[in-house]
Amino acid sequence: MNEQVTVFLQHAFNGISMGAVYALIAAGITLVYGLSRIIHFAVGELVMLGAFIALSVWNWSGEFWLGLAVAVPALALIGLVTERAVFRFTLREPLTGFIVSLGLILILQGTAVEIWSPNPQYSQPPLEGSWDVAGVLLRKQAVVNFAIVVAVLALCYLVLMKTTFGKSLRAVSDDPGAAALMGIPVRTIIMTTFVIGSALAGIAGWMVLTLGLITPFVGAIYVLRGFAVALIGGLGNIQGAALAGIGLGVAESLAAGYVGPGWTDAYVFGAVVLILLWRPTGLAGGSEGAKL
Amino acid sequence: MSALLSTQALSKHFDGVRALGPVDFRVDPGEIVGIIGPNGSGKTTFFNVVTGFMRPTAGRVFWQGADITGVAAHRRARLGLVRTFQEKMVFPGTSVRENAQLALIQRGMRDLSDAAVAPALDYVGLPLRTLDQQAGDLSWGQCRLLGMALGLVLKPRIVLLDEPFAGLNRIAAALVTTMLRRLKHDGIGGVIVEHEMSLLLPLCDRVVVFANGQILAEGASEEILKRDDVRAAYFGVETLARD
Amino acid sequence: MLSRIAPYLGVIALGGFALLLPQAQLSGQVMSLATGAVIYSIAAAGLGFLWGQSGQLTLAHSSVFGIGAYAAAVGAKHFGLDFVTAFPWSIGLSLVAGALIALPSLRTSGHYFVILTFAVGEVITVIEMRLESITGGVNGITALPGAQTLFGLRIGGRTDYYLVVVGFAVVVFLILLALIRSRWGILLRGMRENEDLSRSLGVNVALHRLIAFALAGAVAGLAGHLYMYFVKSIAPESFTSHLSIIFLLVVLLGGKTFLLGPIIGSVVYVFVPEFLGLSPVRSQIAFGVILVIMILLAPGGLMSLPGRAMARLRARKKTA
Repeated sequence: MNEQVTVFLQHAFNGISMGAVYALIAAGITLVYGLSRIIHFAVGELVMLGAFIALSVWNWSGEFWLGLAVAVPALALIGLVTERAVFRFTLREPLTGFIVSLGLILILQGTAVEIWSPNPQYSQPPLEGSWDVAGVLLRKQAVVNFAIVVAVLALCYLVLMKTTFGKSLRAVSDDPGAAALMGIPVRTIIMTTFVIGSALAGIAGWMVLTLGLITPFVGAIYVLRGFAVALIGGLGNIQGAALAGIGLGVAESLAAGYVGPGWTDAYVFGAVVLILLWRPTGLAGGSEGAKL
Repeated sequence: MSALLSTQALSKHFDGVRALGPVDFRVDPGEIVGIIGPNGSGKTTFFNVVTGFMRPTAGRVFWQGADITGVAAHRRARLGLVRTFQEKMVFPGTSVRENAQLALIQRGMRDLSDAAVAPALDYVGLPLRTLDQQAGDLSWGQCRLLGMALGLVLKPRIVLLDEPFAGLNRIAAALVTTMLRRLKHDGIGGVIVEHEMSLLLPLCDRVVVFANGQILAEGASEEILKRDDVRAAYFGVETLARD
Repeated sequence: MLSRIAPYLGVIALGGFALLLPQAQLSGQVMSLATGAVIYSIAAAGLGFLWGQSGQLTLAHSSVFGIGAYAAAVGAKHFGLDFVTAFPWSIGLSLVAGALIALPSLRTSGHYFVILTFAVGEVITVIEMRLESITGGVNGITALPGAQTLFGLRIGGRTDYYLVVVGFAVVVFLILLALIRSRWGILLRGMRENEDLSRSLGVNVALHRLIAFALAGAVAGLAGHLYMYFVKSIAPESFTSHLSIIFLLVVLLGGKTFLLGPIIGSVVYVFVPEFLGLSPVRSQIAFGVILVIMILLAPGGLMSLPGRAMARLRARKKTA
């Protein structure tokens, strides 16, 4: 195959595997926002906690996959606790929920520094090596990550579309008042989305760990990408989030590969700003941002 | 006589679905026109497009013969085209005094003292003792009156009132009626969207019936209700359709 | 008449008290903390004005603060500007930046806008890191301006510089106070309370919002300038969104609708961890907790508490 095509495909693959992580985070953001109208800005810190918890469990047990198995329920628990302790009191005033999440950033990040020190931690996932497909190197771990994301998002989609729970959830998203009148336990459903959204961040955290390097400050990287994806996909729209996540990952990877990595963030976020100015409710369409 | 405000084939689509139009509409100076029609018939969209709060998909809006289709909402207000809102009628978090002062500032008044504020409240029959209250703490009816007072301070040529009687008890409704008669007396034109026809019809020179985003009929108040198509559209659909 | 000038006298009295503070023979460390607190309160006052009066929240405020600081530092290092001659640059650039950040608010609102300001802040941080030839990249700039005096006060002197900073703070707070009580203040609060109604009354919402953002930007830039001449060494990581959250906390602590709220907020923010001997990380956690508690239980801030307590007492008397 033409070398240029190979290089391009390599960048695209790298982008897709990274974008899958963004899609996962964005799906959680979209779910939580869709139901509670709360911008949960501490989601980056949830990803970071997922990564550190997975790392600690892995270091302690020597079992790589046990990290994932523990990180997900641990993050679900954090989601439950934060919803019960604070977010449920902010449902009437979403801006309050947003500010609460800013407070959580300080708390979670500080706690992570206390426990794990501010220093970067490296990890070398046991699943090493790559498959060579026509000259394009598919990192095994990245392929596994992608498969997990596809499976998880497909599961989310099926639950949302096919189950009674999913129907209730969509009903609450459309019109909480009407849903309550139909006997749907609105508050419980909202709580559940916080749990699910945090658990998704936990999976994403474990994947971030497989990428190599983590610090307690990586949250900011992922929160902005997560929200950029959720916004472009249209808040409240899971399929949109999946597509936009892959799109952002690929765009980033191509920008880094062809223009140089240093300015990637500036290009990507500049593009995000422009896209949102052009289509304020996202490319795929979504709900209007509520007034602050 | 040239129209004060008129529209030409005005229409508005949302995601390809037509919500309004094409509508040709005119109001002459000092005329009071009522707009009736079932919910979802495009009345509020019509208001939004005419006042510049939404861009029309097609068509034109004219002010005294000049095309103002592309003119920003706040500039239309300065021309003398003022509207009120159905629900968010006032500035809830500031005092009644400051609500009125804002309107006085927009009128270009230098004097913002209580003596300058008083006439505005008097005009709509709002008691002066409410000056220090937060506007958001007023009763629904008082909010409505204050909202109208704010618009009228600007000395508009025409006011567009979005359901001025909605949610009011009989006493408050009587106050609003008095105020609207006063408008007429002072030569201020009006376009009033309203469901409460017993209150609306006596106030209007002319009534326009909207259905499915278009003008179904128009005519003098006393004649319009006799028409069968109006009765069918209004009373037949009203009970079924919902916003 | 008295009620009209009382707030101004209050600001001047508070400033006078702050100017007398060095007479108490405080340690150098306390004076440094106090200087920092006053600088923070100026920056936060810009955000407080924007948020409290016009109802607009931005997470790029720290970046604009950083632009003021960078302008001062680059001016000193590369262009031979000093404390006074760099001012037009630091204030001018941050004013423009503030207005640019406001531009998206003309198209979007609510959540979309707040997240956009966050993105813009990140872009500014990347630019600071990558324009290495000017900004020094990740390592930042260390600028050691020569000895200079302002009204006989040494810019480099610890106590002298504290007095300079307090002087600027008094001027800024007096200007903000005058604006809050002006006709323009009434228009801004109207936009905060009901944007559509403002427009229907002929208010050019976009223009006034742009001006409010530019003003907040200029105030942040002024504070950034003072900050740079205080710490003399800056880096991109000092101005990330983390600092914006701190400004937000400072505004919220004191109370966003109170002019002097940011002073209370920044004094608490700077001095409390010091008195309690908290490490920076622990105080970060503590302030996160405080932020959550404040927004849930006292969203009006500390300064609203006396008023609320009075109202509750009065209500109790009525029922009794």
